[in-house]
Amino acid sequence: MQIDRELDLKGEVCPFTFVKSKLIIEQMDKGQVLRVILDYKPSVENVPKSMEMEGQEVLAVNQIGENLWEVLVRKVK
Amino acid sequence: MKLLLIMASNYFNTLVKFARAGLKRNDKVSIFFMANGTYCLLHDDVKKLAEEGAKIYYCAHNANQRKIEPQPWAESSSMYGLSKLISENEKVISLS
Repeated sequence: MQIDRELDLKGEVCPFTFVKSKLIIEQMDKGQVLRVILDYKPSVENVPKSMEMEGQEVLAVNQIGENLWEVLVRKVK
Repeated sequence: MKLLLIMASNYFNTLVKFARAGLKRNDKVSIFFMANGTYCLLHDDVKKLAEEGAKIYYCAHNANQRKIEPQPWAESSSMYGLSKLISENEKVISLS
């Protein structure tokens, strides 16, 4: 899968994880994929939820380390 | 009616009374726990409200800060989730 933008949010907590993700995805074109790196479990649950509420497509939430996750989001609108 | 109760304090008995009154009227009752209100998630009466039909949400970040473990009958949410709930409900009562 092609990743168009990557956002490393290690060390960030809610609500900044979603706010920063939203600001980036607003700059992207429809169809592009954003990869968000998170190390805060509550954000791993809620960034994808909030993205879906915003009308974006969450492609995957993968654990990639002991306390590290990636969220893949395709911009739909 | 769609009723949202926002709980950010320790007015627990008031919350339960509002919620039960809403459920008795067949309102669709949602409760959002945030800040120190998340401590109420440890109370058995909140689980009972969920069993009686209230939809329970909580700010995952606030609960995490207070070392409150997630409960299966409560849905993890956020400030963004709260903003959506406020716009979706007809009446909003904030206990703060």
